[in-house]
Amino acid sequence: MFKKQLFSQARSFATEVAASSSTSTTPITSVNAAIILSRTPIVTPEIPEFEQKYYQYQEELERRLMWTFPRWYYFKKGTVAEREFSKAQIYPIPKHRGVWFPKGVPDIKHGRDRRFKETIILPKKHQEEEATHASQASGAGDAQVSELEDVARPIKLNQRTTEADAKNDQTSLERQLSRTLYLLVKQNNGSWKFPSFQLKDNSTALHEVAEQGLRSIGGVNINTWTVSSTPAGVVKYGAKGEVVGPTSEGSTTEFLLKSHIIAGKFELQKNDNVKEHKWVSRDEIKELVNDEYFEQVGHLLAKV
Amino acid sequence: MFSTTVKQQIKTPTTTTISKLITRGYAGRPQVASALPSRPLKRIRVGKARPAIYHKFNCKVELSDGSVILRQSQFPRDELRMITDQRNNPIWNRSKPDVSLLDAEAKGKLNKFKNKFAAFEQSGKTEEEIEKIKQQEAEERKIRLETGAAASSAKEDAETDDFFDMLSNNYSEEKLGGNLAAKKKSKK
Repeated sequence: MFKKQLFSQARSFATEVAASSSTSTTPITSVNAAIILSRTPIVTPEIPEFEQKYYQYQEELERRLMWTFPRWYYFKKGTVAEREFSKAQIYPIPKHRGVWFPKGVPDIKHGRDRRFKETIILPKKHQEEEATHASQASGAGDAQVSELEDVARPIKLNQRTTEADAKNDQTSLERQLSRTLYLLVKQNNGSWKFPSFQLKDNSTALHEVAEQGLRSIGGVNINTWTVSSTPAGVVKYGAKGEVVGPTSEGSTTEFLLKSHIIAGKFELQKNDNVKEHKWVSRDEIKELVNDEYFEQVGHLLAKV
Repeated sequence: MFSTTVKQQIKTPTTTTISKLITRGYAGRPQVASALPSRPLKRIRVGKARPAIYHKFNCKVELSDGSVILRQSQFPRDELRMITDQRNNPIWNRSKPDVSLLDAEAKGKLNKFKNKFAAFEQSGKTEEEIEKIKQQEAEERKIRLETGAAASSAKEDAETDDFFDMLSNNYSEEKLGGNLAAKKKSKK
């Protein structure tokens, strides 16, 4: 049954595997299951300079059109919060009769000059703490732990680049956070490609073979989610292991299955076939793999 | 006044009315009125000239796993730290077995209070018993968080009931004052 299913899949990809063997069956060992294991982006993509300026302009425009902040709604009169808030504000100079304002007569309503955008200064809660932290900075790791436990610590934006980026450690999963990364492995002949595994018999489905194979080279401490049991693409190889076009009849057929890494880590195990692995983006894949291979798989990879 | 003029303008021109659109102005020059119906006049009240754009603050939100996102909010805060959110809810993080809301709950105010005043509840118990109770509570909480269903606490209720029974033993309510004077409606 599986063989039949496989043939239908092969036909759908306009391959010659099944067509050539209308009478004689293709040996199952000439079929490979490859896994395109991807790590989806963790942070939002980098915004180009032009777009940054556009967003900045739009934000400034919106700030100018914004209504006056209703401080009476958020701060009850006579409370400490209200006092702190009003203390932090910088109020505009009101207009006076007989005084010349070179930059125009102020138009003040609710403590805001209506000619300009409103700038609200929120009272800082951890000004004093920052000073104490600076004095504690010479302390050991304990200080850092206590700092993390401090619920009122100031919030800092995380770095978009990581240590692995600085070192250009391509084996690390924590690199290029804004890009989709793919797992590539180095074959014995020195070429890079997606991990691919030969089918032993027709008892196991393609995606299962791919997943089991992945665990055999990358350890069991990896949590993946296979998108579909249907292959996303097919690559055909000639007798010498070179990539041949989709119309020509190859000696080996490789089905590509898409999968995502959800948790865990790919730790390369001792094995005969694979000695090296890399987590690389589409652009880097283009440089690593040979052109014929990229021509076959390039359309399957995300450009983001 | 407006309604009459509007009606006239809205009327779509047909072949018979086109001749009406061309009128003679001064010095006999033909004046062509616009064939398009104009927008019906509507009174624009003060403050309604443009859509409401409320004042918004740019707020940095730190999620429970340490990632920081930026969002706009009307609430006057520029920093927000989440204790429980989508990043440590077991329902949304099936792939992360180590994620648990138990840690998040441990940081909350309620847990601090419980830790502070646990001694009252645990008086007269050995350390082993206390440990056992804690474990049981943690398990119950885990079940509650994972399934959304409340764990059965019939036993606990029974215990507290006993305690209240003991408190109210040999106690009869003392009448301290007279009846409250009720206002009576006068009959008419």
